[in-house]
Amino acid sequence: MKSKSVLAIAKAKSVLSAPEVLNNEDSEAFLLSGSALSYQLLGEHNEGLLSLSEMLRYFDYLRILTDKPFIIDGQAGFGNPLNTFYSVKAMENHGADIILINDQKHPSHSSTNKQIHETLPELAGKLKAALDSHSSKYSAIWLKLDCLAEYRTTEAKQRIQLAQALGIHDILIDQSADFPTYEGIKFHHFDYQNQSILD
Amino acid sequence: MRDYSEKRAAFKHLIYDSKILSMAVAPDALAAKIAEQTGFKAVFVAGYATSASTLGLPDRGILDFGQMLQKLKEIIDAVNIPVFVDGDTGYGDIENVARTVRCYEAAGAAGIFLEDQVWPKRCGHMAGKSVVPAAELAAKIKMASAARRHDDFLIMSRTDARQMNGLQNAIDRSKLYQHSGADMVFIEAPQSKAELATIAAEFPDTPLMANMIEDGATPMLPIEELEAMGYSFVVHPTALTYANAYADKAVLKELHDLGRTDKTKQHMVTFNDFNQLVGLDSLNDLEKRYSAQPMAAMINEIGL
Repeated sequence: MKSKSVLAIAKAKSVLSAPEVLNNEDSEAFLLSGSALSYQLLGEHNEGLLSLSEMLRYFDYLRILTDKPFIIDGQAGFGNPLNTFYSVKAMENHGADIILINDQKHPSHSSTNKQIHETLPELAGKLKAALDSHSSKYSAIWLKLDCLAEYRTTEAKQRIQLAQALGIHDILIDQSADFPTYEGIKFHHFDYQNQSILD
Repeated sequence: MRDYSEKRAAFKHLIYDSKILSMAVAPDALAAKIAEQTGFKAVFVAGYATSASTLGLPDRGILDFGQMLQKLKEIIDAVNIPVFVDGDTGYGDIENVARTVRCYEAAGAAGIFLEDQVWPKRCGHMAGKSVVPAAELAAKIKMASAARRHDDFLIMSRTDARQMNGLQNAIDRSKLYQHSGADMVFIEAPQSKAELATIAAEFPDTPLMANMIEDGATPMLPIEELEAMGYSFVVHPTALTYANAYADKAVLKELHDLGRTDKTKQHMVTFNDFNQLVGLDSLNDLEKRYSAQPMAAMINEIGL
């Protein structure tokens, strides 16, 4: 079931433990961040070191604790568009309500100085694969623009318009960034420090 | 969030349908996929096969909850048909049962069975089994029923009492388990065709499972005969494990002794057939669909 609240989610708190989920019942939604989890498990903020299966095993422990919407960081699709297709299906099968796909090349990085943005056709392939793979009955696909600072204005616009054309309605951008209105798109500000969605 | 309601509904329909359901016991995702392609309508994830495929050990209670859950998830992800799962004894007390039920249900299983053996358990057809007092499994069944989030997540009781206490005690226990909330009943290891028929006569309106193990304690009957007796579903839980072990031994013996596979190759699936079996063509097509060329054309069409 995709609850109505998924469509209207504004804030999501990054969580890494059962107590964090259980003691934050006032949170609107929860997020399992690749960056936060890689620090938790590996001691460094480097999300691309984690495989999908490792993330899902961890996610399962948290997902079962709450019926609130749970967002999972689908990183850069864990490979090419084909990997994205299968990754999204698996994340949905494990109970994700919202799956984030970022605009980086795989392996995705948490440090901005190591992030390389994906080409537009490759990003299009990943987003299209993600949308074809998931069922809107159960989950939503959001785009996370990690490489926003790298883009020229036209390049940023192209990515937003691509998402818009494909039918993605939600885009995560850095908390300090701002965009003019795009019809049908909601920009959510993301706090990279705390790995949380602010609005 | 996906809640797998369609799988549970499909499974319930198959169980309550008048036609007997033959479920494939799959030791792993590949076997489950082949079962689906062959035409099986549901898959069973069972302890004997999983213990063998995961640990290379007999079904003696060494395989734990986490390993079963992992295998269950792998198999559910691989197929589009309902998956029923072995919950053994629930892996502890009633709190463990509640967690087992919640996790299996959340993982997408269509139902579970719980048994009354003393842990560590044994395969139902092995010697030396022992059972807990009936009230203990009755309490677990009640807890399982309360812990499930959907009424159509089916719960089956299994008793192993036949071997030690006789058929009547196994029937009495099963009636108690049914009264405690079990939707389906499984009496393990009846020792004759007459016993199979007696069980069916004692539970005329309850879905019953028959367990056909090659060289086991129960006579192997054709599926049609079990259906005529009144059984709702049947499994052959060791068939694939034994077939795999047989094939592994034959191929590895030739490879070890002769350094080649010429003789056993004639019994193998071919390279192309196997790739077809696991869906290589559709996977390659999928990759092409999202490759740079069609995506560039799409971008162009959008006007970016």
